[in-house]
Amino acid sequence: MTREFIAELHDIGKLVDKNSLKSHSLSGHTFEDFDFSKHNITKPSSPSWWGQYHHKIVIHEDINSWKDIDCTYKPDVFLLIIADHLASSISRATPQLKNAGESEGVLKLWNYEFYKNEKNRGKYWAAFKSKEDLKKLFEIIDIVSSPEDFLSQYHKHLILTPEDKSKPRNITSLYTHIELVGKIYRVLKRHCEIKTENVLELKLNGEAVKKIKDAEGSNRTEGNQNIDKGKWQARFVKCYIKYPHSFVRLQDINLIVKRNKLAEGFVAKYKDYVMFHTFDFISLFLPIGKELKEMFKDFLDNGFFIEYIETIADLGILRSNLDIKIIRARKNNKSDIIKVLNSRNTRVYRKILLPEMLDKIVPPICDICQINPGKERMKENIKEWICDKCYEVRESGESFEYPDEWQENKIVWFKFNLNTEKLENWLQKAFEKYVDTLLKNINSEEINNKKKAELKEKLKNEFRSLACQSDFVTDYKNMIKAFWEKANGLAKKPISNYDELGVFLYSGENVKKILETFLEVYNDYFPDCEGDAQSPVSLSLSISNIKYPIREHFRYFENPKGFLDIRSHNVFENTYTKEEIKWLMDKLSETERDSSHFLHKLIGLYDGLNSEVNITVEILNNKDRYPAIYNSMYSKFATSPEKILNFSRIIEEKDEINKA
Amino acid sequence: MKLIKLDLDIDSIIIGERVKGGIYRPCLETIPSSTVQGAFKNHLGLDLKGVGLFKTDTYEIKDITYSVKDKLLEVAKMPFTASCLFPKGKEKIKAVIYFVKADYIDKNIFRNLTLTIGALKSKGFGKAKVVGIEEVSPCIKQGLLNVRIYEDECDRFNITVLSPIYGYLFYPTNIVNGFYKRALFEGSLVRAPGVFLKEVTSYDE
Repeated sequence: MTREFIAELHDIGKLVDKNSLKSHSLSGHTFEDFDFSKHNITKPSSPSWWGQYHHKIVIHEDINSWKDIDCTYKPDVFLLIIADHLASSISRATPQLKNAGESEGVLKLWNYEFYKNEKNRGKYWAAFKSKEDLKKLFEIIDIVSSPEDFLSQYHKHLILTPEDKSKPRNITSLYTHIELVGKIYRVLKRHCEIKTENVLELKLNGEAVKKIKDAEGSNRTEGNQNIDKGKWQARFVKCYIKYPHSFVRLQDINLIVKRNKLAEGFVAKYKDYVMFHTFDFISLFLPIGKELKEMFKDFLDNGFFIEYIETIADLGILRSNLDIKIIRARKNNKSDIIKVLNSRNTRVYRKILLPEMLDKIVPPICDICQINPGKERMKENIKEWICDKCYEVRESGESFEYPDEWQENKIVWFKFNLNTEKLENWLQKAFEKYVDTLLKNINSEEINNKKKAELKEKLKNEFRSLACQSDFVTDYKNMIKAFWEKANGLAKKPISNYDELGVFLYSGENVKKILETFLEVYNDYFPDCEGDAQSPVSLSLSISNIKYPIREHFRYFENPKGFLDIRSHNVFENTYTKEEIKWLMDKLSETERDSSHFLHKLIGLYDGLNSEVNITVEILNNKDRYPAIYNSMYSKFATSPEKILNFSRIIEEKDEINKA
Repeated sequence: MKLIKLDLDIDSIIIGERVKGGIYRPCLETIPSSTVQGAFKNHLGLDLKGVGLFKTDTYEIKDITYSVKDKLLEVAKMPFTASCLFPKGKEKIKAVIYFVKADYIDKNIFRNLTLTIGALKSKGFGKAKVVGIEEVSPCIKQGLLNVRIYEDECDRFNITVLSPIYGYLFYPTNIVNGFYKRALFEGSLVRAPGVFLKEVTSYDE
């Protein structure tokens, strides 16, 4: 059996604890110069072994002049190095932040104590700590049969180990890094033509190169000279899966089941092209020419829209957040950046893939998708016009029904949301904050202020958020899984394998428990991500009578505004930050005990007069009598009394909302 | 290109999405070209092509339940709930309608005009008073569309489609008949007069 070159093994040396193997005088994390005979270890002979040379290659050197590497595997190493650069969280050209130190475990920008907590649970980053382990490492290079095999075997170590221990590069897990490197390597390999006549050269989109530097070009995005354009370009594409459908009946949410199935199929079919994905978002790395319409055909055939932002750039500057940088530069008319980007033929497109749509439709039109002719259907004496596709979706799969005991009651639909645009912005800011903290701690005698400022700017500009995004998304998925483990008896999942959506019978106690559970899991996974309007993660609650149309709950979920959005149909709509929720829940329960009747009086007043001024005056007048309410409303937040009262109403034991 | 801009004050309005059969009728948050055209035809007998939009933060969505009577059969039909736009706060809903300036249109005919736009007119919805008339010459910019307009009317408004989001708007052919015509929806990437955009962008074309 032919053994394959497994790119994921290139950084296996990063799982070695060198301090435990001092006698082996190991340096770096690759083993190309390791003295196998001295240590009586058999040298690996698999193709993957050549991945160990990825740091030995000088990027300006012609591939034909590379020494030591078997000619058959030179193209693999060539592509591996490019993939490694693309997947790195910070470009290779950025100088390390000397004196900032190293960290043993990975640092998650949204969970600073992650590694420490895992260590306290008895886990440890290193997988290879003894001579025997070292022997095993080389065996692994020889015997691992697939990338998945390696990733699953060493998962527990890979997620704790940083891709690079030096600060501030310690923010990406080795797991995500090598997973991305493997994917990018295989995409490049699949689309690259390897020419071996006379001299070895690699060709992508008709551009032949012999040096890595020629393929990538420089990593410069600004300045006015020595632009050094790369010959190879590729695309990062952010795809948002959307649908025009509005759900008429509860069974119509089967469309989400359909979307999830299609997404699963897509990810399985194009797994190497998919960098990471959520339920409605797919991030792709693609070579020029790979047709998106063909890739998303199944989605389009089922009436979904694909909105995408496509960035095309030289490999030297391509990164997942380059589109933001380009658009910002254009908006602010930054000529030094625009000039370089233009001369490197960098482009950003925003496009929408649509299903085939007729020029005109003779009525009726489908009630659900509103893009196809509808057919008359009759159910429960109600006439509907629904196209075949939407009807098939409605009738397919399991159909969720509200429990009998919920009938005639109020219910709460809720949805978790991860906003990938906010995520990119948040990660950039969180990284900048991290760099600022590190630089603040570096003694100014070691590095002068001017240099510090330059370094800071360079680090911030060079940040590539792709791997961090992937790690964040993994934690988000784990968080909502953990939520359901804790809240399973409390709420129902209308779609069994879809964790973002839930519904429960309304009561103040239930709302309180759901919010407490959300805060608990959020604090477990994202303790250092402020729960505010900038937070990539949010939760929306929509409270209504059980008969309220399902489509309106979904319309509300479409554009979350804050960290927690709450809407009680025809009563109020507010957003809350994490700090506000926690504080309100604590304070209001205290207030309840001391002065609940005054709080009820305020709610009644507000319902009657709808005036914040009136409420304010009432509270101030009773400041001495009910200090708890005065304190809870004015001492800490600039939160409006309306927001506080509304929050208080929904976590009440009694169904106060029914009164409204 | 010169546009006539009409500022409107509205008490409450329902511009229904096309779901006609259901017992819940959601409401649009934009004034499609089909609605504008219908309103002018009814009031002035003019075939004016226009588009409109509501000013954000001047309205909120609320529901009303309405019992319909079949006048022909003299029987009550199943009540339905419709979502409507109501003013947010004490001011009226603010909206604007744009149409292309033409020599044969005297803009004085719009002075103090009250149009009725949208559904449930007989119940008092949709009264829109013209409170301002202005001639504007907006610059053409790239951005995301904020209005709904028949695809074949884009040229008239100097809208160049870069990446469309299509949907359908009803196109009446006479008082009782019509068909659904393909239209450009909000969020389409276009080059258009800036007033039609919800966000100016700078993507490659």
